[in-house]
Order: sequence, then C-alpha cells, then structure tokens
Amino acid sequence: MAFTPRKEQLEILSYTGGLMGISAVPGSGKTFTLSALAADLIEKLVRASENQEPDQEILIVTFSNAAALNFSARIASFLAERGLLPGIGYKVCTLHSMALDIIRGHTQQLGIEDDFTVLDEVGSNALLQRAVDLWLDADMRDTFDLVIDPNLRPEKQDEHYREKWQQDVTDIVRNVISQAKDYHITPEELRTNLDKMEDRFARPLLEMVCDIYGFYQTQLRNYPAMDFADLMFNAYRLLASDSAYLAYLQNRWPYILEDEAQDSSLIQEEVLRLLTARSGNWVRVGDPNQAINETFTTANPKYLRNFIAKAQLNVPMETAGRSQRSVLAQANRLVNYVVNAHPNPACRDGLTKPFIRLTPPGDKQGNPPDDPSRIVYDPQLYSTRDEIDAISRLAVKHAQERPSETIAILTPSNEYGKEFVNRLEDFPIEVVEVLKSTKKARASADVIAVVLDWLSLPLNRKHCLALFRMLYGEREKGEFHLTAEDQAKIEAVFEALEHPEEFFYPVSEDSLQQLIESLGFEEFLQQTIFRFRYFLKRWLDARFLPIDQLILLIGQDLFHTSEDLCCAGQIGILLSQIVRMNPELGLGSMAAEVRKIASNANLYAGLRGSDSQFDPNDYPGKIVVTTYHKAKGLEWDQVFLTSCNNYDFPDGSEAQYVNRRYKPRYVRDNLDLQAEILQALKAVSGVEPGLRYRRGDGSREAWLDGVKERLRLLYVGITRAKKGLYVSFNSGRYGKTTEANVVMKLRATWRN
Amino acid sequence: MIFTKDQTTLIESSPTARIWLSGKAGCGKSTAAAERVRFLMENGDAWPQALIFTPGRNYGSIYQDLISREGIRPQLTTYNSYIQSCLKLFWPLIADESGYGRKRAYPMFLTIEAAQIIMAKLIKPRRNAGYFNGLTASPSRVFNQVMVAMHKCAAAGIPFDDYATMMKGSWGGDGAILPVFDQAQECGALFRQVCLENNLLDYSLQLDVFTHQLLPNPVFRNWLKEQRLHFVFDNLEEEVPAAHHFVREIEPLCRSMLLISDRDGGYRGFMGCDPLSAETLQEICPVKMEFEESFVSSPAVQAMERVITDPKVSSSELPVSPRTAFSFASGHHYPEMIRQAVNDVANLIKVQGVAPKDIVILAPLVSDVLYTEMERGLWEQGIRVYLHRPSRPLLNERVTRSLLTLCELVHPIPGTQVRLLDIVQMAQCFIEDLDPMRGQLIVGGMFRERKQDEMDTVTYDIKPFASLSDEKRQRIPHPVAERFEILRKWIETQRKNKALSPDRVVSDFFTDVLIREGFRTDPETNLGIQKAADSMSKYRAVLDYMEKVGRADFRLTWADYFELVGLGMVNAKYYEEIYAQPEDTVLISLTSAFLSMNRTADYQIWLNVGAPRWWEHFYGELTNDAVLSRFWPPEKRWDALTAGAYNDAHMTRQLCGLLRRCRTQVRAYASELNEGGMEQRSKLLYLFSTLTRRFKFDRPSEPYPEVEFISELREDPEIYPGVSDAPPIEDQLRAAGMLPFANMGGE
Repeated sequence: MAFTPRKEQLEILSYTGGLMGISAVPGSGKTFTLSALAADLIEKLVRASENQEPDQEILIVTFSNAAALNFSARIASFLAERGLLPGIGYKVCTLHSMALDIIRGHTQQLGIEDDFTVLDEVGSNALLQRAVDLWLDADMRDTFDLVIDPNLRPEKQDEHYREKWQQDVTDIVRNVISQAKDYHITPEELRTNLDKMEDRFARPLLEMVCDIYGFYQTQLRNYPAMDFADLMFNAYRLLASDSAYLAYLQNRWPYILEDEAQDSSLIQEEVLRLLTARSGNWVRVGDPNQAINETFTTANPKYLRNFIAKAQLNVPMETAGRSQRSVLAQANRLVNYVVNAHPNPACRDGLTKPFIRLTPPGDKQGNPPDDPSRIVYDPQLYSTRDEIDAISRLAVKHAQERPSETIAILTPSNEYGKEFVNRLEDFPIEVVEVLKSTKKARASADVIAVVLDWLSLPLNRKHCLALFRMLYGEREKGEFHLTAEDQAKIEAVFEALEHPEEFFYPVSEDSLQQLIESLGFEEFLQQTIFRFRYFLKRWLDARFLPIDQLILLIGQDLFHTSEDLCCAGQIGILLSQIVRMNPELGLGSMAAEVRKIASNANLYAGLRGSDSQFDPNDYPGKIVVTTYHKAKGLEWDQVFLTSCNNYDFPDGSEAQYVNRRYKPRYVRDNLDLQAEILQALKAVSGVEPGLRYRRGDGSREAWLDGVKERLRLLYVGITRAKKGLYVSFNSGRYGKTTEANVVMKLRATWRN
Repeated sequence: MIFTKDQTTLIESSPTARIWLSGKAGCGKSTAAAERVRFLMENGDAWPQALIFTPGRNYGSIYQDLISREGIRPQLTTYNSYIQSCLKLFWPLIADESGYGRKRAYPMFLTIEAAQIIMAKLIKPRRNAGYFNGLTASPSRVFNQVMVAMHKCAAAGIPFDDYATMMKGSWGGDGAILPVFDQAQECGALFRQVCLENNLLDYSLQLDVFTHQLLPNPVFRNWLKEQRLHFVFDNLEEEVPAAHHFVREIEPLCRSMLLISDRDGGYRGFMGCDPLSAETLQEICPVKMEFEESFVSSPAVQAMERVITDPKVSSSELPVSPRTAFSFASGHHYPEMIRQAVNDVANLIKVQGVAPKDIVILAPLVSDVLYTEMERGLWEQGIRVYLHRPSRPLLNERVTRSLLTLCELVHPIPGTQVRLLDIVQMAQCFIEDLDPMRGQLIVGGMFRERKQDEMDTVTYDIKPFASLSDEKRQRIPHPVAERFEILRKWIETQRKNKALSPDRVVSDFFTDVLIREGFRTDPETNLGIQKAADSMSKYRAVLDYMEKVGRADFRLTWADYFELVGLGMVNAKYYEEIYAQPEDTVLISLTSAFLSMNRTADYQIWLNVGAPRWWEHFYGELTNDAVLSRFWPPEKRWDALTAGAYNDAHMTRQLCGLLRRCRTQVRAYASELNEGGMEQRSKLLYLFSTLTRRFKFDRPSEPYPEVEFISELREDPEIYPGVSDAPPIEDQLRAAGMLPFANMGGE
C-alpha cells in the first residue's frame, strides 16, 4: 500500500504522546493517517517488548463495526509491510465493544449476574414496549390528555390516542432513557429528583419516564441483561468505583486513538477520559461538520470541539484529495454561507471552518480533474413521485454511459429510499440497497417465524410449503436458491403429499427412496428434497430444547452472517423470557411474537461481528440507494442528492418553525414532546447547574439543533461525491414545500 | 502391582504415622494410599477401623474394593454423608442445646432443592418490595445465591451474622450494591429461623450444628476415640474448611492419619472448598511426602503444562518440545469450528484407531446448541457421544421435563398449563418408535384441553384411540396405538387416586408402564427417571415431615415445587451419571465437571477456545468464595484487579488440571464469532497463539525477555480536572460539582 504523507499528515505521524485533536475535513485521508499512526505506535510497543506479545495494547476506538474493520485491515496491512504480526499489540473495536470488554469478567462488582446478555435494539425495543404497555394500563390516558392539543376535535384526539400514542411514547422514552443513562441517572435517582420539577406540564411527563424507565430496568435486571446504553453506563460505574482496575486498564492501553469523535456522547467521553487520565495519550479525530447523529443518539460534536480547543496538539487536516475541485467548491460555499450569511444567526455555528483545501500539485493522492459541468443543481420543482422518476432515469442513464463509475442516490429517509428502489427495479440495472437494517432483521425474523409455524403444526402442508418457499424461493442468493421452475416442481410434490409423516418418517427409508425416484427428477432436485427433509427433521427432533437454544440451532443451519445469527440470538433470548412468563405459549404463538418483535427491529452497530462492511467500489455501474446518514464515510464518483427542500433542509426561519420536522404533531402549543422531556430531564439531573425548565425552550432548542444538523447532513451529502454531483428537490409529501433556501442560494450563485 | 520407591515408603510407613502426601494429579497418590490402607488392615491390630473420606463417590473408586483378609471393609464416605449419619445417631445428645423448636423429633435433612424452595417462599414477597434491586440477576439466581452464601459461610466456619459485614468490608465495586448484602443476611436469618422452628437442617445448619455442638461433645469424642481409626482423607483440597477443622479435631483421637492433597487442585471453590485451608493441615503431620512423576501425561504434554505455568521457561530447560502435545485451529463462524472438531474426532477414531472412550470433548460451557451440533455431526459419522452436564435446571432435562408433564396430566397443579406440544414430547420420550409427526397426530386427536379455575389451570380429557377417525387411525402403526392406549388407561386409573403425590406417580409409571415392552428403558431414560423420582421423593419427605412436625403457619406445597422448577431450579448433583457412560461413546463435558470426574483421556478436544468463560471464573454476586474465607484479610478489597488476578490463576489451574488428565494430545478449536454471532476472545486464545508461534513454526523458540513499555505520564489538571488523583466515585464527583466535563465549559 503506497502511502505518501502530506505535511499535515506527517505532523500527525510525528506524534509521540499527549492530547492531540484532529479536525479532519472529508476526504483528507484521516483513516489512512490514523492507521499509519497506530501502526507506528504499535511497532514501537512491540519492538519495545522484543516481539513478545506485550501486555499493553494500542486501543483504537471507532463508532461503527464497518469503521473498525476498515481500521483493522489497514493497520494489518501497514504492520505486514513492517514485518510485524497483525493482531498483536493493538485492539480495534467500537466504543460498545470496548465497554463490554471493560465489564466482561468484572460483573460481580456491579451486582450483575455472570450470564448477562447484551440486548441490541431488537431486544431492548421489545422490553421497552412491554414497559410502555404496563405504564399505559396504569396511566389510562391521563398523560395523553395533558399533552394533547385541545384544539383538535375529540374524535381526532381519540384517534391519536388509539393509533399513535403508544408508539410515540415508546420512541420518545427510548431516547430519554438513553439520555438519562448518559447523565448516569437511574430511575430511582430520577424519582428522587422529581421534587425539583414544579412545572405542572413537565412533572407528569418526567413521572411517565420514571415509571417506564423503572419497569424497563426491572425487566433488564430479571433477565439479566443490559442494553447498549447500559454497557457504557456500567463501564463508567466500574472505572469510577474501582481505581485499581482503572489503573490496570490505563496501563494496558497506554495510547487511545479515537475515530469519528464528533459522534461521541458525554459518557463515552468520560470513559475515555478516565482511561487516558494517567498517560494523557489520547488522539481524537473527527469532523464537527459531519456530526449528524445528535437527533438519534446522545452524541454531541461540542465535546470534540472543546477537546480540540484545549488539546496540547491541534492538527487540522484541511487538504482533501477525494473530490474534484468543483465538488469541494460546493462544500466550501456551503460552509461560507452558513458561517457568514445564514439568515438565522443562531445557526451560524452549524458548520465551522476550516474550508477544504485542494491537494498541492504533484500530490500522490491528488484531486480528480476539475469538471464544473458535473455539478448540477436541478431547478425543477418536482413532486416526490416525479423526482423519484426523473432521478432514477438520470441515474440509470449515467450508469449505462459510464459503467466504470460508482453511483449513489442519497435520500433523507429509508422510506423514500425504498421508493427509489422500487422504481429502479423497473429498469434493467442492478440496484444495491443500503438502507436501514430493518429489512435484514425482519428477513431473519421471518425465516425463524416460518420455521416455528411449521414446528407448531408439522403436519400442516400449508406451513410446510411456506417454509419451502421461504428457504428456496424468496431468499435471493445462497445455497438454497432454486429457479422458479424447479421450485414449482418440488412444491407440486409437497402439495400432493397427503400424509407428510410418510415423507418425513417413512416406515422404511427404501420406500422413501422409491417415492423420490418415481418422480423422475434430476439428481440435483432429488438432493434438494432430501436436504430440505434433513433440515426439517433436525429441527423437529430439537423441539425439546429450550426455545433460545432451538432458535440458535436453526440459526446455525440457516444463517451465515453474523447479523442474522445475532438476530436469531436476540430473538431466542426474548422468546425464552416471554415463555418464562407465559409457559403455556405454543410454538405458533411464539412465531407471532417473533413477528411482533421484528416489526420494530432496527439493528444497531455495536457488538456484531464482521459482516457489515460496505465498499462502494465493489459496485461500479450499479446504483446504490442509501440515506444521507448511512452514506457517511463512503464515497462515489457520481452522487445524486434528493429531496433538498425546506422541510428536509430547513433554514431556521421563524416561518418554518410551525411546520418543522418533529413528532408527535398532536401536542399542544406546537411543543416537541421529546425535546421538552429532555429539557426537563436536564434541568432535574443537575448536569447544567442553574438550568431551570421553561416550557417551550426545549422545543426551540431542539428545532435549532435540528436545523444545524440538517446543514451538516447536506455537507456530508455533497462531500460524498468524487466527480459528479446532482442536486434535486421536491414539494414534499403534501406538495407544500419548496427548494431549500440554502440550496437555492448555492444554485443561484453557481456558474458552470 | 509394582510400586515405586516413594509409593512403597508410603505404604509401609509406621502404622501410627501422621502423613501429609501431596503431588500433581496422576502421580499415583491414591493408588499408593489404597495400598497403604490394605497394608494397615492386614498388618495392624485386629480392630482398628479405616475411615476414608473423599470429596465425592467418583474420587473414591480406587478404595471401593478394599477388603481385609478378615473381610473387613473400610468405611468410605464423604464428609457431608459422615456428619449427617453422626447427627442422626447422636441427635438426642445435642437436641436440647441446638435451639430447635421440636426437640423431641428427629430433624429433617433438607436437600438443596427443598432449601431453595423454602428460601424462594421467604424471599419472594421481599423481592416484590424492592429487595435485591441492586442486582441484575434472575429471581431464581437470587434465591440460590442467598442459600449458597449461607453454605459458604458455614463451610468456612464464618458465623452468618458476620456475612454482610465481611462482604461490605471487602466490597470494591459500585456502592449502590451494598444494601443487598444486608438484605441477603436478613433473608438468610429468616430462613434459619424457619429451619429452627420446624426442625429442618439445611446444609449450612448441618455443618454448624456438627462443628459447634456435636464435635466438641465429650460423648461423641469418646466414641470416636474408641474406634482407633486409621483415617485417610483423599483430595483434601476439594473439601470445605469445616471438614479440615474436623480433621484437626480428630487427629489426637486417631491411630494413624494420611492426608492427601492434589497440588494446584481446588476446582470446587463454588461449593466453598478451599485448598488454602487444606494446606494448613500439613502442620499436624510430622511426615511429609511428595510424589512428582506423572503416570498419565506424555513428556510433551508435561512440557506444555510447564510452559503454561512458566511462560518464560526457555526451550533448553524443557526435556522435550511441547510441539506434539497440542494442535490449534481457528475459524470465523461457529458451525465451521464444530465441523472441524467433528472431522477431527472422526479421524482419530476411524483413521487412527483411537477408542471413543479415550477421547473427551470439553468446553467451559456446553450449551444445547454445542452439544446438539456435535452430537449430530458425530452421529452422522457413526460415532455416539455421552453427555455429562451436572447441576442443570430440572426443566432443561428432557426426561425430567416429560415426567413433570406426566404428573401434571395426572393431577394438575393449580396454575400450571401443560401444552399439547409438551404431551407430544412426553409421549416421544417414553414410547418407542413414535416419531414427532405421528405423535402430533395422535395427541392432537386424543387429548382435549379444558381450562379450569381462576388460575386457568389446564387439564385434558383423553379420548380412547378408537374414537379417532378411521383416516387418522390408519396413519398410526398398530403397536404405537396400543402403547398410547396403555398410557391413556394408566393416566385415567391414576387420576382416580386423588391422594397420589407426584413422586408416586413417577414410581408407578416406571413399574406399571415403562417396564412394558414398547416403552423406553434406555440408560438415559432410566437416569432421568431416577433424578426426577429422587428429587420428588425427597421433597415429599419434607412435605410429610412438615405436616407432622412443622408449624402450622409455614406450609409447603407441590405447587411451590413446580413453580420453582419452572423458574429454573437447579438439580442436585449426580455423580452416578458418569458411571453410565457406555464404552463405545465419546464423552462431552464441561471442563469443570471433567476435572471433578477424576478420570483421564488420551485425547482432549477443547472447544470454543475463544470463549471468555475459559478465563472468567464466577464468584457470585452474593457469594464470593475468595472473600467468604478465613484467609481473606479484613482490610482487603475485592476489586476488578483482584478478580482479574484470581481469574488468571483460575485459568492456569484449570488448564494444568486438564493437562494432568491428558495422556497424548490436546486439540483446540476456536471460532471468532460465538453461536449467537457475537465476537469473542479469551486469554486462552492468546495463549494458543503464543504456543503456536513458539513451537509450531521454524522460528526462535525462546521466550522474549520481559521489557516494560513505558509511556510517559502526563497529568495536566488543566485538561483533566479532578481526575489526576485516584478517581473519586461518581456520587462524590457530582456532589462536589466536579463531573469531569463540567469544568471544561460548554457551548
């Protein structure tokens, strides 16, 4: 791997210790540089111990599994070049894996049973929903009546209560609980602090959080399990209460390198701060302009900004070779506009300097040739449908004309992305969907549910056929796949089976052989039938096992990715808990539970293994559809930015406040319920001394934060493009919105 | 048998000698000890009895066939059985002073299961009131932990009243947990009060009463003295300090004494056993002997053990290279690891001609998935396996669960809800030639569910087979239909006898049904029945006793039993299982269980080497066996670092224990992802990586010198406010307004 460092990269590589903050613009080669720095430090460490496996490790923490993999691969490559063994002297992991590593083996100090489970979002969501249901039963609709907009008609109010309240409460409380854990507040402490809240609107809302949080934690305790937020919370508790262990870890990890630091939360920063308190060797790399996870998580780029401001070494990486000049110009113009001319001064820190600098002449990783004609701001106001159609056609045309280029369509939401995928399926081109993992989780859960359906009634031909179709028809790839024609042939056999037991458990195996041979199928199809039968019998014979083990066993036979296996593991754990509470539950009802659990599945990066890496370069000539959020860290030759309207990318003007992005929309006084509760939580938790809750402040603050985050999202979108950028907008779901003011400004002042 | 010089010296030592014998496992200590007993019985006085203690029946097999020329057999027992028999024999002597409410009645010895049920009954209302909220643990775990805490205190000779003080004093973890120790002590005291009021003796009370009341009693001591015992205690390190105290007390009363300890043993710490305490008994033995030479492990395996215990050992110091003592393979996915291991075992047996019984497959945890995958993989290769997983929840044992279903079918327990699926599984478990599909067909046709009472208890009406439609009947082979009819009629008959308790249902089922042709009586089924019958009959004995002797305000019921089984009540240990292993099978076992089996193997297959469980030793949230020891210094804190050091020592001890029981080779397998798709790594993985690098490649095979990698210390208070000192705990930080980030200013 040829890596010729630039000046600023050389400065980073000369690091030997201390606090170093690196603000890296997109495309500046931060992964490369950080990997090279890691390799330097690892080499020193390993050489210092004369190639013995050292007791110490350079710790590299990242935000996602994909990033961890990327780092591992690059570091291994650098080490191999230096004749060192990969895997020795360092650890690359996500922050969550690091937290688990800290806790693992030391759970006793936290009063946690050794057999604890880590619940991912599939699992914790199911628990939270149960906690919300319990609370709803007790609350009747008192809290709803408190928050509902009195101007709505009673029947509309009823409809919201019936159809939306439960899900909205679940979504809101999930985020509030995460924030509470970030503040290190337990439900019991929150209850004690409730007296500090006098506001008659906010107090019952905090009581609601308290109740649900309490139910939720009780369930986790009884499992016993932890969610992702607990991992970090407990890691902090352990380090803060056990100075000897902290000292041990401080010695074990003499250097910590942190990537994507703009996405770190308060508690994550506190844990890393404790770990580096002795050595002071902490390198944080990130781009505050790419902090786009605030809305969904407790992350906040202010932590990185503060760190950079106070660090002993501050090395900005401003030079980027990824994109051509005109693409970079759009990014810089956006920053310039926001910093100097944003109509709402409160939003002017949404993006920050430095500007992105072009690579110097002769740079080995220089910018692609400039081509202003490849920057297109489409002036057309499309309906959403028309935008999907127009952009799909353009993307297909582009792919056909430039088959060697990589192409992506970015959408603000998964749902909108899905609509693009559906439209693109009409064209003779391969579409690569990189949307929320929900589909994946649901697909694995569906397979499990169909197997359970059949196991509950193994004589039922309908279930057997459904299972066959699931395994051999719908799964697109892999060893199970059959053509439609072959599939139909075998299905006909199963449909004609009057007595399935004679097929699965014949009086003699010879009679079965004769039966199969009499069909006159070719060898491959015969083998398929035997294989299908083999698996089904395996699972049927395993019905005795506890449900979690049964599901894992099925998973071992069917799944080959860690995501799928994790999903199976989580479903198994949840079902086993449900069965503990409802021992009368049959396998059919369990299948229904699996579908219920999966309906809200949203897999989250964390502890899962290594199958989640996505490399755009693997898909030239194909069209990748993804969201602005998921596109972070990736790059394509041609990028289509869609839906650049005032709803998705607002400018923070007062006029937009009423129609801003938030939910639920049925709350009185235009209040953002989640923001209000978070504000109340902040006030009672004491994290900002002197802060008092004032109704409406939270909503306003969240609105401005949201506006700023959207500006950064646009920045991320623009900087994904290497050569071509196409920006379009639509009139929104209700046909009322217009081109985003900020995009209009960029368009109006761009001259090809 | 030919004995070594050391062994002969031991055997022929003075008939009144007090001997301390130690050495690694596999050095022939027990063989020589058994011969010494024979020697003493045949060459000593006419009437000195030999009393031999071992920690369990499996440890004592070598002594079982000892018999003197006069036909006298030594008394071979465990410490626990011995004190139970003594308490029974001498109860009238101590009843008055032991504080029991029903002094005239003999006490009832509680099984672990019955004790758990009583504990659960006492704790449940308190748990609902918020007790133990500081713990993240399942309810059954909490019941069990409080009970085990009492056991460990009694085993270590620590008054239970001191429990909370000891635990809190050593606590190095989160301060929010501290109240749970007081709560555990309160619940334990309550349990003890119930025992005293109802004449019940759980394990902890047995130890306490024996140690503090019977053992000092002059009558009892005189009785002991008159027996002029030749006393042998083998595997002393696997016993509790209370047993060691007993040894110390009876030493002056014995004619001779032989104390045997496995060096680096002590695998039963979770039961309160304490090798450190055992070591102290050296001082009462003027004669000390040590055996060194292994009769089990090959030189290469011994060399591997040496490298594990002393990683810095140079290759020139090793008599042979450990290169041939191990193989190591690592894959990405779990099923890949299983496939590799299956092929390896098949290769050993089919190509290399190794006998199945000479191979053991070991993992720190044998989950159902691991077992089932291995079992099926090997079955497809024509190889049978035998599983040994002691101390599992009753509910997870197939046969036991089926018997519980049967009991509930005969006499529904209020609140229990048997499913049709459970009935199919029960039928499959006991009826030969019944496949799951025909089972489903016939059960679906014959059994009709009926819900009754306010607790929705499920009962079933069972129709005769003849009432099924012609079409259905024709699909069921006649012999199977007949067996179902036998089962149905038997259930109907049993139902008429309302007074029949579940344990009787089980024993009747065995004698009325299972012994008939067409029903299963394989060893696995028999063992399962034995377990269930034993568990239930012991519980019924407690119920009967409570009915007659207990106080009216504390009653136990069968519903309590079934409820706790449903919550995952752990079965008592059954060492008998290991004797049931057929010759032509490969053993699959937990590492810890294998170490307690006192057996060896030519080849050990170590599975899931990446699992953290190889390193993690669990001390229990409420029952830390290191802290609940008389050797724990009062001022010492149990912190994460201490736990880490204990884990390191535990892993080394465990690996050495395994190697000392391995004749030829260890074959280790790892997968990067566990069965649930999560990444896993363990210290053992690193160990194999080092061993492979040192001994499997043509590279320098010397260890590297120890060089510390120093990183400069920088503690800049400007950057790190409040964290340059040892970090104060979170509450203090918060109270002082010194949360680390607060001082750095926000936006």
